[in-house]
Amino acid sequence: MFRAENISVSYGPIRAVRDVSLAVGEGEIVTLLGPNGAGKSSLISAIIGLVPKTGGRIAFRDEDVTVLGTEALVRRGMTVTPEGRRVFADLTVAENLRLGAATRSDPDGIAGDTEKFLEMFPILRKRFHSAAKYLSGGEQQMLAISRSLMSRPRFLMLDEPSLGLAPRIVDQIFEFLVQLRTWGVTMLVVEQNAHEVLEFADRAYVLASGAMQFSGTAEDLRRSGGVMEMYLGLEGH
Amino acid sequence: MEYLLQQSMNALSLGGEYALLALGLAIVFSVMGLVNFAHGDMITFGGYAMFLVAAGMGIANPALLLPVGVLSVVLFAMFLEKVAFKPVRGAPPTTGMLTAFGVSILIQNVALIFVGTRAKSVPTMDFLIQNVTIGSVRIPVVQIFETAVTVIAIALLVVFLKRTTIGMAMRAAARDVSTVRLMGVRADRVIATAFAISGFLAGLATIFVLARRGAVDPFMGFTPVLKAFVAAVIGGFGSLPGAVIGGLVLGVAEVMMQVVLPESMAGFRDAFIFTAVGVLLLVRPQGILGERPDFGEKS
Repeated sequence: MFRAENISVSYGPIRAVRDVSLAVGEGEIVTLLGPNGAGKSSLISAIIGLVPKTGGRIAFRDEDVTVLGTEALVRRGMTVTPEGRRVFADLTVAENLRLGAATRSDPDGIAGDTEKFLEMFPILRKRFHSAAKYLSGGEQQMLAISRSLMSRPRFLMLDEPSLGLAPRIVDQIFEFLVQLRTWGVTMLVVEQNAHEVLEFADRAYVLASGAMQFSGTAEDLRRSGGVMEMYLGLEGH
Repeated sequence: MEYLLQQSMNALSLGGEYALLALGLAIVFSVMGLVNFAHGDMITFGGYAMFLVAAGMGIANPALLLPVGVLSVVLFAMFLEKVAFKPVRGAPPTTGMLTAFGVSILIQNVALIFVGTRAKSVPTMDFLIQNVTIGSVRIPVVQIFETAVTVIAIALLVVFLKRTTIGMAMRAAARDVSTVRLMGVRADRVIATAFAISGFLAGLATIFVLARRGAVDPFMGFTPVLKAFVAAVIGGFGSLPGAVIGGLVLGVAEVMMQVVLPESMAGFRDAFIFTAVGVLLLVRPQGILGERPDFGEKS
């Protein structure tokens, strides 16, 4: 359903992403792994149109969306939960969720979805009218993902959802992602910590130094000790 | 007692005018980091629009004239955004500021060439410069009008920013434009709305500036933009509540100076005020409600 071909991203003379291709099928959870500075965030930002691509093509649901801007892509059902959560700190939880639904004009549907996430994450209900900056890191991540989902995306890219969170919270977030698959959301999960995400991802890509180093099933990656060790600092098995 | 009441009314209405002006600057600054020094010239534009309608077309009815003033400034602000500021949006902040100066100089000179250096009176503002007498206190109509309009405008703005999606997006964009775009909100729309609101507030201010002066001239926007800038700095640049508070503080300070200073020193009023602002900024460089600059967060 999603295909990016030969994407390149440059910042001045520095080529952060070189000729990278990647595809995600309907209903899949695919993970994009790689060490810090590999170009993962640059690739995601280029896909969603927040930084300019210097080359490549992007197709989404049989449509060429290469030249579309961020806003148009979001309206077509793609979105990103950004690295570092980036909740709107001065806005309340309620307002953050409302802005997530900015592209929608069905008040009943919006209210229903809001209720759904408040059921899912009761802490958000408790903090519904307080500013998002008063939430803990884990709570902010729950809010950030819920906010992304308020636009009812078909394809959700999550940029390092586990970053800086306690293991218990990470488990909770990942369990939620698995559940999300049953709602029909296709996902690309960018991670530095390969171990846990490989337990539920279908396929994996490994990006290092701006180039794709590996592509295959999660199972393949776990078995290929070399890749695991070289790029992800993990022992394969 | 009457004197005190009269001076309070003076302070309140002048502070209200400054608050409107400062809010207009602050709302654009908060969403795109631009200090729009052409803000005052938008007022000049509104003044000339009203002059042309009043003198040229002979329309004296204030119920027609005042909306013309406000609407013309709104449209002009949106026009400036499209032709002058949008092309330099990605450029460093200095470029935007220089563009604003350029726009300002251009407007002043266009007014000079086509309308001339002499001030033109706008006679139909008469109804605003009459007085009402409450008990033994005489209060100019313009002051009552000004205070009421300021309160209503601020209330409307608060409702807009809190209740509408685009209003929420504007508040969010003050800190993080890219994440607002990830919500599917077009940055263009947020910025155009900010300029429209800025123009609306400047349009309201135009009416009062004109009522006080009774005439238009090409440089009439200079004092308002200067006061707006000072008020915004006092309150904390970019903070909307700060702009309101800064405007009121500046208005009260000016009226107080007028009351306290002996006549021989009246000419030094602004010198005293700017000194006080300087001292305030030494103690609180970020202004009353501003946040300390945080270079890590904004992107």
